[in-house]
Amino acid sequence: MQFELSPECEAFRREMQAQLRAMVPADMARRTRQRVHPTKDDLKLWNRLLNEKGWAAPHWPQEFGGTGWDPLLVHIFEEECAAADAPFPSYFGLRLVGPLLYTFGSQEHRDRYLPTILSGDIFWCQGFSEPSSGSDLASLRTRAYRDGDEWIVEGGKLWTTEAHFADKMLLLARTNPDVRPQRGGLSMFILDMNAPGVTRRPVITIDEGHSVNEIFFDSVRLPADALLGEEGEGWTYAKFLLAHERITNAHVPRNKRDVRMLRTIASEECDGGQPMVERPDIAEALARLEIDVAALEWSVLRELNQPSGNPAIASGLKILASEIQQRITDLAVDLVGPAGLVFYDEAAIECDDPAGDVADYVPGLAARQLFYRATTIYAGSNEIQRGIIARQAFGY
Amino acid sequence: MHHFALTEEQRMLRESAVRLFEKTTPKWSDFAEMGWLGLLIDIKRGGIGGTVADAAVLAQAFGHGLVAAPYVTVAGLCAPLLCAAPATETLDGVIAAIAEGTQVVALAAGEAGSHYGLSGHATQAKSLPGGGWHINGAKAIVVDGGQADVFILAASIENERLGLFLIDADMPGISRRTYRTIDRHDACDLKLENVSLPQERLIVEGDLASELLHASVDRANVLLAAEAIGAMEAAMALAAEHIGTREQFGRTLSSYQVLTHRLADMHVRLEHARSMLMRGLAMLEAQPDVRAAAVSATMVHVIEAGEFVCGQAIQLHGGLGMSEESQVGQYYKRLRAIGRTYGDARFHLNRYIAHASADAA
Ligand SMILES: Cc1cc2nc3c(=O)[nH]c(=O)nc-3n(C[C@H](O)[C@H](O)[C@H](O)COP(=O)(O)OP(=O)(O)OC[C@H]3O[C@@H](n4cnc5c(N)ncnc54)[C@H](O)[C@@H]3O)c2cc1C
Repeated sequence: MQFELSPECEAFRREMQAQLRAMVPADMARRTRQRVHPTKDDLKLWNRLLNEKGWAAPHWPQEFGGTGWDPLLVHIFEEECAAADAPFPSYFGLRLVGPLLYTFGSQEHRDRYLPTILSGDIFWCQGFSEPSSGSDLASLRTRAYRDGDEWIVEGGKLWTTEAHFADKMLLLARTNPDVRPQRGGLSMFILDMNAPGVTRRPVITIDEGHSVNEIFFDSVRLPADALLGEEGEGWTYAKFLLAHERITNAHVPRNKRDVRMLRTIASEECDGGQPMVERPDIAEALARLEIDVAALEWSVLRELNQPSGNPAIASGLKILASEIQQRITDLAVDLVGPAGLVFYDEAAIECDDPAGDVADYVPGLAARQLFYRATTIYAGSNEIQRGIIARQAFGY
Repeated sequence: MHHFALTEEQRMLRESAVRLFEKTTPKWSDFAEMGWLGLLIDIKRGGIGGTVADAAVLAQAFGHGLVAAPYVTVAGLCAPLLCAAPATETLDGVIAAIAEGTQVVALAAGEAGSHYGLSGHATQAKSLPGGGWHINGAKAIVVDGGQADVFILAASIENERLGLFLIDADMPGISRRTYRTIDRHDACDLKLENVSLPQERLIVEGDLASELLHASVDRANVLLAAEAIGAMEAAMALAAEHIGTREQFGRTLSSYQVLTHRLADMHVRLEHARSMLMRGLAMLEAQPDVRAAAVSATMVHVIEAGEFVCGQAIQLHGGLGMSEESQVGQYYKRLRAIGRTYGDARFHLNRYIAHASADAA
């Protein structure tokens, strides 16, 4: 063990800070602060701007379009993106499909899809969960049948984030009902969201925003080359992705930004003329969050620097991070007091500055607090993570 | 001697509410017909002359039925406040109109930056030489104020004492911005520019006004606690039903002990919160310090229990709990709103600390 931040790291941070802040348009930064769900336009534009610099996917290997930075530099970069109020880039292409393709995909698929993910021209969604299969993902019922060279898909998906503006879906489907799903029964496909037979229905969440969807497949025909990797390997790929997802979902850069924001809010909001930050209970809650975010950050840095390959570690990160995200937004709403009651329509936040005579950070806070109830549910619920830890760490 | 069981009248009150809420989305006029709006108004003044405990039974049913109506604001806060003020003809008219369901009244106390505090109002009332008042200022986040016809306005008289004024929403000089709250109630901001009021629109002033305001908001807090209990009961029942039927991994979710223990914790929290509701009701008539500490103690308990019970009801539903179409999320939002109407758990904890020696005595 040896801990020192090299001068190069600090120079890199300063460089990125300057460049990224100049790159994020002011209105995009405001939307990022105020909206719970980013708009497609912002995601697309930001992806393009990053790609022009060669920074769209710093975490990918260099041969596929990554930057070649070590994990610490990537982390610093992501932190500066968050600090500049850049939108968190659309997750599914960059974090799921990309790594899946360069790890398991055919050369043809890599050539076709990786560049369009980097450029932000093609948006993806993740079609795993179904109405009856959430935690028990392997029980999913969507079927893909062979029909000559082609495939026919029947069934449906639920909770599909960003499916309303995605061009492609990473689809997990049952291809062989005669073997266990985990033993060759599932395969992964690339599905065109505009193919005949695909319908999408918005599912509005309790924040009254639209990010998730229900998708129906009515005899959707897929070409032979829609199969991703090997037939029957769907479960292997899904497990590979879920492990990835748990680390990214630690959202350290975003949590650090949000907890800094908390301090700003606590200094600006007053309770009877006294800044909230001077109230002992607020000072303590704030300190606890800052300390917990520091713990989370160091756990993530440790894992990035020296991957344990231990699922119990990744699950622990997911639990801590999701609980921190909820506590941050809970406290943020407490800080603004009765203003936390007010409902702000996301559509209004999209068009113009809805804040009026309230502070810039108020719109969107209450909605974010509500939507973040989902952080302990999605990406593998915290109950499921605890089960994994008990199994992996103790054999129970 | 405390009696914890419902009286016969209270049981009937609850049943009539449950029946009404099962049938339809109730209208404001239904509440008037049932006599609920005048529950805390004297019989002589057109009401029913019930007790706060009766109103709590009703509020609990509102919570259980997820009825988004300003019931507590109008019938639980404003009506008894007006009844307790020195009687005038204007007041009598408003009180009767509340009972008849023809006027909605809201309390405009909060201002930008006042957080949940009830004193120190920047809104100013100037007494005019020939009698009457000029009011200038602004009020923020007046809960249930979007459709109010009349406001009870808290303002500072000559910068030295509190005055509660009765103002009509459509008086010249008043502009109102109405918006929705997260729980589908409404709220508004008010701007008051040289609003002229006749002398008798001042309903009470000075220490009397301050005590009346605090006592009324304490009563409203306890009634909101009752509403919260009703919402928690319903959310918990939904969660229990859900894990009893939903299967994952070939077993019902209720076969996982972590989930049934979660339900058990929800049950424990709810029962203690229910006890604290009753304690709050019992202490409403105590002397002001004792009452303040007791009501805030109730609110700390109920708000935190509500966050846990309704939050975990969502958690046990998985993704379904996050859907706007599912009921648990609506209960959660009502709980969140209750927990920041007249103070959140932190506010009430601090308020308890400020008055604690009185409560402990
Ligand atoms: C906002 C949001 C976005 C999402 N985005 C996507 C997406 O883009 N793509 C996608 O495929 N999916 C997505 N999901 C789905 C998500 O992965 C599932 O919601 C999650 O896996 C839980 O499944 P479920 O909702 O069916 O709940 P269930 O599995 O029915 O779980 C209900 C409750 O039971 C508990 N439980 C279940 N099994 C056990 C057990 N064995 N032991 C103990 N407790 C258990 C759970 O923890 C939970 O509390 C999203 C969900 C949400 C809410």
